[in-house]
Amino acid sequence: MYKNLDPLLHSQLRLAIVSLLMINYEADFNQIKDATNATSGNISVQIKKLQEAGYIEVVKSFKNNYQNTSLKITNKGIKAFEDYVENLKQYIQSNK
Amino acid sequence: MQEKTPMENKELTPSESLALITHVILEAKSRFRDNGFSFIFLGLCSCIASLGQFLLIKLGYYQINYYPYFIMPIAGAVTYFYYKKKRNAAKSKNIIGTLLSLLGAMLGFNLMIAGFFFWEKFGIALIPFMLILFSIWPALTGVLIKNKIFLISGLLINIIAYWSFFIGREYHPLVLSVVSLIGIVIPGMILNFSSKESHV
Repeated sequence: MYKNLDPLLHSQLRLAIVSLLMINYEADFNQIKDATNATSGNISVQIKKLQEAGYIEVVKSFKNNYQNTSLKITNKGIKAFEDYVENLKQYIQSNK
Repeated sequence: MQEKTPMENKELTPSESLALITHVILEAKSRFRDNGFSFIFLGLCSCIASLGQFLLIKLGYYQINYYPYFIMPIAGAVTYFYYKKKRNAAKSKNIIGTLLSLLGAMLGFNLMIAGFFFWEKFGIALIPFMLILFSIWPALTGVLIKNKIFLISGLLINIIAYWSFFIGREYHPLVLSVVSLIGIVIPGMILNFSSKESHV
């Protein structure tokens, strides 16, 4: 619908995840859950999509005997976010 | 407390996207605001240590005038463990926080090296040099978290650093003490206060 706006980032939950990772270069699953208040299932699906696109890196480990999913933004993800914000600015500017 | 609406996989309008990005950034900034502790604690320690040095000089205890500064490595260690614990609890790494922690550690390390091992080499320039290093901390904090009080306080400390070359050396610790209180502790308290208010 919105030309030039990356459809992968143009979704509420995925954009929130990537924005969060742009500020906190590393975040774990629970932190994303706290920030978005979304369901674990929905977050997992969106994480998978972002991971498949190469925007984020997922590291699974064990912390105090519990599985810990840690996310990091990749250079491709940073570039995609920057382009998205730039296109967003242009879009808003041209529609003023 | 207001319940947050769960985020979904819905497509956004461009203005909604912008609002969402702004919201996430503001949330991250408000979390960082808790860091007023380092300014209050280290500023107070520096204020007490330099005031102690000033009093020892005034009372004629020249040989031991630098002793009060031994609280600074301890204060640095306490601050390090405080933030380490806090960071583990937050389970995240914030770029602003990481950058400022690194800067704080580098400045603290250099201040101690200069003060304990190179004081003779620096001579009259020791406290002004320390103040110049000191000024970077609030100034950069002000820029990163967009806080005018910190930015102005950093610039003021910088000016005071050069001004202190023109006053008697025996008053340098007093200058450091006043600067620590007004330029570091008070902005830290304001930061802490505004952080508590925004969480109400």
